[in-house]
Amino acid sequence: MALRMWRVRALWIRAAALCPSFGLSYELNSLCSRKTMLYGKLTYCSSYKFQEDIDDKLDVKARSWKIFSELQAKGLHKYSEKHTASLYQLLLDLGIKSSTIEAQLTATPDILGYSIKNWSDTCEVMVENGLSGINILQSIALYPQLLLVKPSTLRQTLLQYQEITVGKHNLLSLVIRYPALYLFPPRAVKKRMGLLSSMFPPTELKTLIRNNPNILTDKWETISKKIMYIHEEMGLEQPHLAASKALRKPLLHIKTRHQFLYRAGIYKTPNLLRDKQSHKRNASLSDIMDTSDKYFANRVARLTDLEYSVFACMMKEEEELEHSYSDDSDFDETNDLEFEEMPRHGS
Amino acid sequence: MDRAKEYFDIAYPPVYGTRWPSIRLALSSKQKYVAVVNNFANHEVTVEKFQELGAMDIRHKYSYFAERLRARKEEINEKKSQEGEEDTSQDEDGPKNSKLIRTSLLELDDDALAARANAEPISRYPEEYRRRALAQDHVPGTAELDYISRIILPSEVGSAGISAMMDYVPATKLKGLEDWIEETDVFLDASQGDQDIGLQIEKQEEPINLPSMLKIYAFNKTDISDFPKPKMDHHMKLLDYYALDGASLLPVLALDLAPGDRVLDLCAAPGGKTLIALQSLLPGVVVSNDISDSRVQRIRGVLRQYIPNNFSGFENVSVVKKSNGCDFKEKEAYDKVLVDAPCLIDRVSMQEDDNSIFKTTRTKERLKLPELQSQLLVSALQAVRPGGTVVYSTCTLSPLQNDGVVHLALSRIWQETTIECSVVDMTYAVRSLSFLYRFGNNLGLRYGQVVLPSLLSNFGPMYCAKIRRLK
Repeated sequence: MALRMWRVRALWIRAAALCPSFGLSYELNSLCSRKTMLYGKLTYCSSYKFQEDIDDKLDVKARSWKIFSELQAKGLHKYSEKHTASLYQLLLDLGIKSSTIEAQLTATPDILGYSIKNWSDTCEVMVENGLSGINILQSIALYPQLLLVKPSTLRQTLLQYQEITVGKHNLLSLVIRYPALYLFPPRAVKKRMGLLSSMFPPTELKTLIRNNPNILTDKWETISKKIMYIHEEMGLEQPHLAASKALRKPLLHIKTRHQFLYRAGIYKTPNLLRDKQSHKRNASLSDIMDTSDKYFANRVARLTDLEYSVFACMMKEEEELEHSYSDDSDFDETNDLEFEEMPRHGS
Repeated sequence: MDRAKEYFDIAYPPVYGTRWPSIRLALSSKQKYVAVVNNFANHEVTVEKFQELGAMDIRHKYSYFAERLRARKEEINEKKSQEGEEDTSQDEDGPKNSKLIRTSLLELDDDALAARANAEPISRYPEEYRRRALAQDHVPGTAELDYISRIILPSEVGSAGISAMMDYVPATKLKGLEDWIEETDVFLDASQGDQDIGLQIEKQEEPINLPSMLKIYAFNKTDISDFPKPKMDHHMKLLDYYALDGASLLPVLALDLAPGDRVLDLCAAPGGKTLIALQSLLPGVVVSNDISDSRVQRIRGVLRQYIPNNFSGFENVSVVKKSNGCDFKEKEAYDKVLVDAPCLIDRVSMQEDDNSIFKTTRTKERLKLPELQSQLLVSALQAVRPGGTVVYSTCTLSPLQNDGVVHLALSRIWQETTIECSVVDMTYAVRSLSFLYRFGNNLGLRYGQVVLPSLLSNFGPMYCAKIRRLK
């Protein structure tokens, strides 16, 4: 066990030297230079680790016992104290702060449900690819099934992602931010990218993916519906789509935000064929879609957030009604009741 | 539909200012209904059903607010008699202008509440304009100015200090829609003061009356639940409730029905307001009139479904008549007359194209609407007895068809007959209903009240003016 952990640590140090330039070095820096001055990264890292070792050996047992008893109090009995301690140590070796570890273990105790072998195997692969400790922990916390993936498969996946490029960067940098990609076959992602590059020029594609990484993994039908709505109903085109995070949101959200402005007469559908600047009379797609409900209602629409929440309910109802019309065979047509000033709703 | 939207988008923003987007939004969205429980069917069961669904009898809140208004008024009167002198700056009595008592938040309508909630004042207009607008006298009825409403700088101030909202939009400044040029002929010069048409204005101090037998259920504000379809009471062969736009209740309440009243509903189809009048169990007779066979059939259809035709003592209460309202034969024969005039029906025009009044084939009809409406009102004022009340209502936001028509009718009455009228100012009286409706304050309305559609309570639009015939 100790040997394995040492191996992880050694890799960690090696990785520090060859990590790719995606801003990871900054994180390593911040980890190493915590209470000490930045001198030589490599040397300091190792000697720093030594110091930590001695201190933490005393701490780990006590801290992990605390976590263990907390979990017991919550009724979670399946994780042993020894297991908790070893996982704690492993995470410490990755360079993660003890407070972070504790917070994560209490928040998502299910990550304790995997063997230490799984943990160290997975972490080894990820460290090899230059991922920081904190990032590893976050990715695993989001997708614990990652720990069950064979290390060789994981290596393959990451290698393949390195080969897929979008612009100057490869997809590895995206994987860091969007861990769902670990579990997704790179082949499918490549295919999806091909599909998207037929709709978006390369620079816009890069921005689009950066802003909406889910378009690589979501079902194509869902994505294309959203793109079509924004294009046809809202009259917008690729640059606007790329600049916003609209595609991350569900279609209902997109419709609700748009209809709220459209029905109030605030959104005037641009005709970009006729006038390239006509989209400027409205708020940007980003302002419309990516903002919080409160900001959107108060600042963009200049109405009240109460009105927006009522409208959102109405839109949901309208959607449900539309779906039920398609398979509704016994709608009562023989309605001879008179309702004053009531427009007939599609009967 | 598009023609209607274009018309509204040009005509209404100058009048409704910053409130127009929220009105337009509400007009394009699902309408809210209230349920009038049928007193002749098994109403207890119906009431229970509604309570289970979460709807509330509007009487509860109405009574609460009416009480508060009365109590506050008494306080003011006491204070006044104690102090014993008139404050010269206050030219209206009543608690509305008193700075002694703060308006409670419960009584403020949504617009005023939104104004308070909005931390930053919308400084669209330079300081100077706002100061000038503040210095001008505001419409009686509200103690605080609506800072959100767009204040149009008047080129000249009206004789009674009325804000320039009353100046109708000059057609020359608008986009070149053909209709607009035609309509300039119909636009009135409304700077005619009230004295010119022999008009007096009296204020109604009492909160508007909700007849005790009426059982009206509504879901709370922001609750968009629907009532289930009306069910047939098999014993009585009648339906259990009637659903209608909540704002349609207002004109009937404004009539202030008294026991034994002879009521005329001049444009009754499809019959909702007639039905409410009958459900109050107050009138001695309700005559529902309309112009065509088909409309009269509709009224009869509705009444058949709700009113029993062999109820003892109730046989001749409801009468349906077919005649032209503009030329109503009976004069001075009714205590109360309701004119729910044909209008642009904003809500329907926004949402439907079917037989829209904005169709090109109906342009002439549409342009003649104000004339038709004022003729109906004149006829109504002739049909009501001296001392009786006429209520004029429309379901449009167009100032021309609202205040404009009232003004037109009153000036004709003044010029062509010896009838004397006074307009009843219900601004204070309707406050007890501000929990239900979004009233349009600070719009420069001269003769009536308007219920504005809002997503929070999507009723209306409804304009309602109350006129009392003196002689």
